[in-house]
Amino acid sequence: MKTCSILLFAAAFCAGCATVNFANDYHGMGIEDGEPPIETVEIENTGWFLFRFIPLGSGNPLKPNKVSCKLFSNTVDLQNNLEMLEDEMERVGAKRVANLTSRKTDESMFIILLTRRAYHTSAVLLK
Amino acid sequence: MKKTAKALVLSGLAFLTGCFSMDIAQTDSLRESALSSNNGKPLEHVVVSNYGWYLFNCIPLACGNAAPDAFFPWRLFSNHVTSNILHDRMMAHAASINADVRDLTFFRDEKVIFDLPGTDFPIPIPYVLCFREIQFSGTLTQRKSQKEPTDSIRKKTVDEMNQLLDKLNPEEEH
Repeated sequence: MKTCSILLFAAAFCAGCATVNFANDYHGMGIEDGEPPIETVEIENTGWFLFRFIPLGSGNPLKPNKVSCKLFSNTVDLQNNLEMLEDEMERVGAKRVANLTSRKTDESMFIILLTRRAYHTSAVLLK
Repeated sequence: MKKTAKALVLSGLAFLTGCFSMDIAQTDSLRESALSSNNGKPLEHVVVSNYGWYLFNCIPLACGNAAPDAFFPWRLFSNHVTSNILHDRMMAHAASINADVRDLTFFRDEKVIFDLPGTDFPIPIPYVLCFREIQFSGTLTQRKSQKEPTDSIRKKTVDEMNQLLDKLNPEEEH
């Protein structure tokens, strides 16, 4: 029972997470060509890998900001981040995107045994 | 047993070596949205990255192979984690699809202090083994020169030339 709970606890930590964060208070400032944007959005998707490439769990890009992950599949890629951005654009009614940048990070535990990979995308959404 | 240990060490070293990647993504809404009124339609979002390991922060041990015709995914004792090489790969890809680059950002990460595996104790001497990573991110847009006429640029150039001539020969009329 004790081993089982430790394994469950570890598995919970090894699950990934997809999040979409935004900020939309510009105090009347224009960002792109003086036009006030709808919001600045930051998207992150994380996952855990064994030996760098065997996926243990990663965030569910279809349900960002929810307790949902995909076990044993890799969803940490640029395409999924762009699709989450597309969903966010639809949600807020944005037609244009500016300052689109992405970056990925890797953190490893015990050299290569466990790796946490994250893909970040940020952009400014405009009407 | 010894063979197994050797195989494990070798495969571990192979995993530790660098890795070059070029991630390309596109969505319908990205293609349909012009970034601003003065720019072309976005075609793709691209992230190019490469990382490697160095001895004393200057001697390359192993890094990802960023050569366009790479056979092996890694490269030993040769430095491919440079902004020039990665920038060149991104620009070559942009040129291959006839695109301009927007929102180009550069990211560089370096780690020079490592913990002993499985502990919180750092290896006492920094810069013995170093990790370096470079990333470029950009949005490829439809090339502007092909879809917009250059009449306004030509007119501006002619006006500038006339102003220059006026300055050189103030008595003559053009």
